[in-house]
Amino acid sequence: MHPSGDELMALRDGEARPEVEAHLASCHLCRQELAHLDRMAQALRDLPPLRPPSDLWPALKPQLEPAAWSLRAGAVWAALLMILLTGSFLILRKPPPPMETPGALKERQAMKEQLEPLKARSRTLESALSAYRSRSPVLSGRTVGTIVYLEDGLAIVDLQLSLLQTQDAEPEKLLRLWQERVRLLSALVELNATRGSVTPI
Amino acid sequence: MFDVPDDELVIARARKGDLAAMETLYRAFEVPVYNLGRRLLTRPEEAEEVLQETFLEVFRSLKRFRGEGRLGLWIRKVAVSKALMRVRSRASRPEAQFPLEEPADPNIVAAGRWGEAGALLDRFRLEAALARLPEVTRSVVWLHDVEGYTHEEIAGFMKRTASFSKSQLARAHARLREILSPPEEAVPCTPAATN
Repeated sequence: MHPSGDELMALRDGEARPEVEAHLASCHLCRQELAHLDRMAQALRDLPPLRPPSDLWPALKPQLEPAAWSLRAGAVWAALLMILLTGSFLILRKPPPPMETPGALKERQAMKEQLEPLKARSRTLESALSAYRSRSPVLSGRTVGTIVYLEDGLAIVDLQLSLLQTQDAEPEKLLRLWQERVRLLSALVELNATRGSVTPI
Repeated sequence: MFDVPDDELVIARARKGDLAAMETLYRAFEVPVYNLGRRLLTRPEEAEEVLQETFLEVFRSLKRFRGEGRLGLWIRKVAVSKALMRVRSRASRPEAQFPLEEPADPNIVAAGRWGEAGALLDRFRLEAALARLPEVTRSVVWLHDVEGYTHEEIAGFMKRTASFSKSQLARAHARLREILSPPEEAVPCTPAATN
């Protein structure tokens, strides 16, 4: 009985049972089959290598720059630490709310009203950004570097916002952070739209 | 393609974050890594992603490479792992195990029968046949027959057993043979008899 395909493969790898080897010695058909397997493997090895359609090094390089890594990581950690320390301090040492004059109350209300359009704009920009991200996976190295920089900034703003919002924070600070968030998102969208042909900020 | 002698000086400089040295290593292995990705994965753009992911990991982990075995072989291992992560994530889907079996292009199959057309046509036929294998099966035949990994090593990459790898290899060869076999002999076209 002829050995199975698996057994012939094992023979090719030098792992066959002795009876399979004995069979091969006397079976012309199986020797032909084995030779065919060898030829196929050789033909696969002889296929010329497929080359990348474009040079991907410029996109990879900015992600490898050690200075950029350490500086960026250092900046993010420093900012996080500062936010956490400030947040803890505010939570632990929150002063009693001062008596507000009618004018101050009015101003506070006006600032709160300015927040809603900023939040709506932020949502719109985020949708636009996700649409671009799904379309353009490969960008130039310079563009990738700028995107990373902007996204780091966005992450810091978001952290600050999440801390402030849990404390019923001052609207003035909230307003400033939301304005910064919209500015960063606009820059990211513009960068994706132009694929880095103009500098957004 | 991966088994090239190491340049210790370049590796040492790349380990310290020297971008020029990193580029030298990238240039030395970009084609083998991309080729591996293209052979294992169906979509060409995924091979580009694997190329980037592989070198990001290689350069970030270069300090861990202590020179046991060649750098190229270590890079290949990272690339295989990155590519197979994608293959594995799709392998549970039925269409990945048994992709649509498109009929063989009769022109390609027939063209290969003309010996004079040469090796180029044979190569095209083999490329086309290879592309028609399911991703898992294609990965096994490529890793075993071309890259020279053992079934145990392939099983480790794929989180399966060595028997699984062996059966996929047998299946790959059977399928390749089936696709590459010439169609049933057609009645040859004979010139009309002339008086």
